Amino acid sequence: MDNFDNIFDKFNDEALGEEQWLEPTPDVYGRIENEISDNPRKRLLFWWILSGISIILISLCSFMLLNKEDKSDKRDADISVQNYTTVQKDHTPIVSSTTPKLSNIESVKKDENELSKKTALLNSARLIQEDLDVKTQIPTTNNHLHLKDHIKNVSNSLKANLVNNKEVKTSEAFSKEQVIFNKRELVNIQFLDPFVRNENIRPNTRMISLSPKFASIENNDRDDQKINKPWSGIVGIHYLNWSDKLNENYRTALSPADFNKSDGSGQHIYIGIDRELTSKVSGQLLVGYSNISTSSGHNSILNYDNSSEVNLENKLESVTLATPYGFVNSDISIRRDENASSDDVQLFSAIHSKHNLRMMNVNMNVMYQLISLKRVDMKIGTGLGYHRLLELKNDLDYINTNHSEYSFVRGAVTENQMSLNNGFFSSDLMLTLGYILNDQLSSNLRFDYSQSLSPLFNDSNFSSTSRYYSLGLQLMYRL
Amino acid sequence: MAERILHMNHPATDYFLIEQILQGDKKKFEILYKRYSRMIHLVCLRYAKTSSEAEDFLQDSFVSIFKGLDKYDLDKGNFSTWSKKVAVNVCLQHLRKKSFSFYLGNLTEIVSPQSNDPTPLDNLSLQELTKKIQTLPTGYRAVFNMFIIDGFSHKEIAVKLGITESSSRSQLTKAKKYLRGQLSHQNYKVTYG
Repeated sequence: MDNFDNIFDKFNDEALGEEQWLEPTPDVYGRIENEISDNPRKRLLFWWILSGISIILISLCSFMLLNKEDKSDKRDADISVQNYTTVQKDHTPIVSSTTPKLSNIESVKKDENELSKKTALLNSARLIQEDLDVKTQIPTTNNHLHLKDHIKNVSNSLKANLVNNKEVKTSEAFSKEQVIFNKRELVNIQFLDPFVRNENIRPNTRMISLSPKFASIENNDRDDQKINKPWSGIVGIHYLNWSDKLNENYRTALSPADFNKSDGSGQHIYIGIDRELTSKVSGQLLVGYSNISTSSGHNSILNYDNSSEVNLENKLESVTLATPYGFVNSDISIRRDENASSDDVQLFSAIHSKHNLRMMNVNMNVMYQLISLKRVDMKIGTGLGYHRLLELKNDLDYINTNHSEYSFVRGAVTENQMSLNNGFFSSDLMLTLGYILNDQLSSNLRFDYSQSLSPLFNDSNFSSTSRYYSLGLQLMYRL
Repeated sequence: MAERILHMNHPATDYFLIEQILQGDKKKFEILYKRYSRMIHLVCLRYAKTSSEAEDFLQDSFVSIFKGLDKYDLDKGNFSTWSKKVAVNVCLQHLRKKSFSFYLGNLTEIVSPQSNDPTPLDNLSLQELTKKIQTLPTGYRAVFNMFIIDGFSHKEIAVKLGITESSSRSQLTKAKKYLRGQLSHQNYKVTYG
């Protein structure tokens, strides 16, 4: 009987001075020294990484600053609204008041007096500048003339509108109509209102359908375009990293054979549609095709039987091989060197297999916009996927017999796995970094993580589930 | 107390060396390496499957020891015990990375008939015994080393390897059986289910 206490003592005896075989090779300490010394190359790498991160941060800050500058006229307008309110509060309102639809916009009492006209004129001029292609921010006489022309045009349009609709809304209704647009537009319209009203609208009348008449001063924010064009077509291609997870029982069963598997790789292509649900949330439906290759291997004892040898070859039939997706049977041919003894031999072999999976995928995702800059946006999303296995192909790659006199000649899988689930669901997470190429086309760098919710292979106690990461390029076209 | 302080300040002690290393004299680490490399190498050989793999484990173990020197507390044990623990942890990290299974249940049967007169394991030399341990499948090898040689309890093994205590016990039984079978020069056949 073995005494394992003695084994403990043997290994924990610190007097190992005579055990020369335990001396590590001399280069080991050299490698250790390299790692523990301050490696200048490592320091250089650190600075490179730091520089890279700094550049990214600076770029992001620049984008954000630019975005802020773009909204500066909106801020000015907000301030002017407040001034306007202050100036007007002692005057009797002639037409009506706007009801605040956004928290930071105060109710504006409207009146007819010169000061209000001037305030509104200045703000309107600033907002209309883009339309008139005036570079300076200071209203000049020339700009005033342009502005007058513009107001006249607007007034004429309004007149026509009033005739057509035969009903005029108050500016309260006017605000209601506009609240679906962004705050900036609402403020713009409020400033233009006194002029329009001054020349064309009688007090306490109601107006409708004013918004189309201000198309010329609409800003080009992306959010508005999205609302107007909620549907997009999607096409994408991804590189995919696939891995299988065996359940405990399966791992246990394969452990003595030192079963090993490698992560697979492949491609995923898809098309789909995207529907804007709100300015920040959208839903996606994607249909795709994946092609994935993986490999696995394990040790096995192959019995070379001389009695069935033909031309120095022995064909072993129905040898069971383990794969991440269950067991397969294969025929294997082993050649014996003519100088080898003719005794029966057990070959402790390493068997390597390849697997190819082809699948159709349907994914439904909900995306949320985290960051939106002028041309760049970032979205995160979650979703549910359904994957339909079209084919699982197994190939015997090669066998190392670990014996110099016996070599692997050929082999083929004769019987594929049983108990495969041809369809399984997955939960998905995704992150996209988008760049707007033009009004209709945008490109996204997209990262997906998918975890299967049900096993791909399931046979009583043994099962395996899969997960994958993918990174790729996606194009979105606004329909 | 005075004797201990005197002992600690002696240039040859590990403590003195560690102090010097921590003060920036990295060349002194080589002395520590030479002092303990065989002991740590033996740990690595037990956990590794091949000699070259063991040297990789050894390298990483000494790098971890160096990086963790400031955490070494003399009051909690001598340096050899502490460094051995660091080495075991490094070896286990390596085994986990290889994604070999540590899990053993009741489904695996190793057919290893006992010979009539097997050589007792404890009669083998240290080198022979190490080589036998290296032939164990990874999961068996980890549990056998941890329980029999490194003195971990099944509870500790369960925590470290993320398995149940019963799996650890079962793994150990099978590892012992496997080793005895190896000595009886019988072949092994793995059966599934």
